Amino acid sequence: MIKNRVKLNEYVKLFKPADAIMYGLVVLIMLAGFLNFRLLMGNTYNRLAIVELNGEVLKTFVLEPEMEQEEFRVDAGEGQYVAIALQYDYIMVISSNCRDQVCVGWGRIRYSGQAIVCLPYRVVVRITGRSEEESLDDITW
Amino acid sequence: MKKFKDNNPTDISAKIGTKKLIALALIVSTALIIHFLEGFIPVPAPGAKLGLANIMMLITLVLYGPLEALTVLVLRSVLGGLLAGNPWSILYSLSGGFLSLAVMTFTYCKFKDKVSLLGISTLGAAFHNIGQLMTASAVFGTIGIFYTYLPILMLFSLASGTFTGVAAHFALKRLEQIVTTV
Repeated sequence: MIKNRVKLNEYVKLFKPADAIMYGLVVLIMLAGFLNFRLLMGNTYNRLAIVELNGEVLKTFVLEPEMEQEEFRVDAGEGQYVAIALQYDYIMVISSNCRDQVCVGWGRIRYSGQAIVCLPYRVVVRITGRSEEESLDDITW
Repeated sequence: MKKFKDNNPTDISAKIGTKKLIALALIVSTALIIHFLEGFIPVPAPGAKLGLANIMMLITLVLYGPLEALTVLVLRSVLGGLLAGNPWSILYSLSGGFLSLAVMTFTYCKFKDKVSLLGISTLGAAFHNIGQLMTASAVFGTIGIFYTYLPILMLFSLASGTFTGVAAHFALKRLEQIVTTV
């Protein structure tokens, strides 16, 4: 038997009505970010996938709905790597030996504006509009 | 023995108070331990953490005030980054923590009576993640990072904020007696 065990009631009693406003605010931010991206920014035409290491562009891929499968390996020095694959419509990180594994676990990205990041190795895989190919100073969605 | 009255105390404990100094040191240590241990829990976003150290920020804020909480934050960020061996985490911790502390201070001071700690800590956890995301976006130079990871981090912070608030609430119940009595 656990002594001094807090019952579930006591947890629920902690709630006050105004707390719902706080929670609602967080949900609002979540929805705002999601909708802003999907409605205004993210699209699936004219996409360019850019792979960067330490802020320098390593390689760019043109994404098309029916493109061939391709694999690309980023060598971040000292045996550290990030392996990237392109399939169908997506680009994703298939493996890496970073300690996070956040990049691998994130899965595929498809819409312009999305990005996959490997923080420890400073690698960014991002999708952007095609005209960035000409002038790297502009960001187009 | 004659006792000297030192009119120019250079010892920091004379300015702050020995008990408070020790308490803050313990809080910073606890925050460092929490920070270290929560790093082992996998999180689906780069550089973002569960934000369990917000428990200590909340406790410091309630017991001592925003200035002390800021001190704890800076100490925790710098020491945590140096000890963990990743200097970048100092930047992320500071930016996320500063934003989260600002929001928590404002909410706590204005609405102390109407909200419990649960709401404050949820808001704090959410803005901690927002701050970290903004820093990550700035560091890598792409705003896409922000929008890609924002929704799921917000969802996460709802849960982690609730847990943090509950933990802080029950911790404060015990701690309030210890701190106010000499």
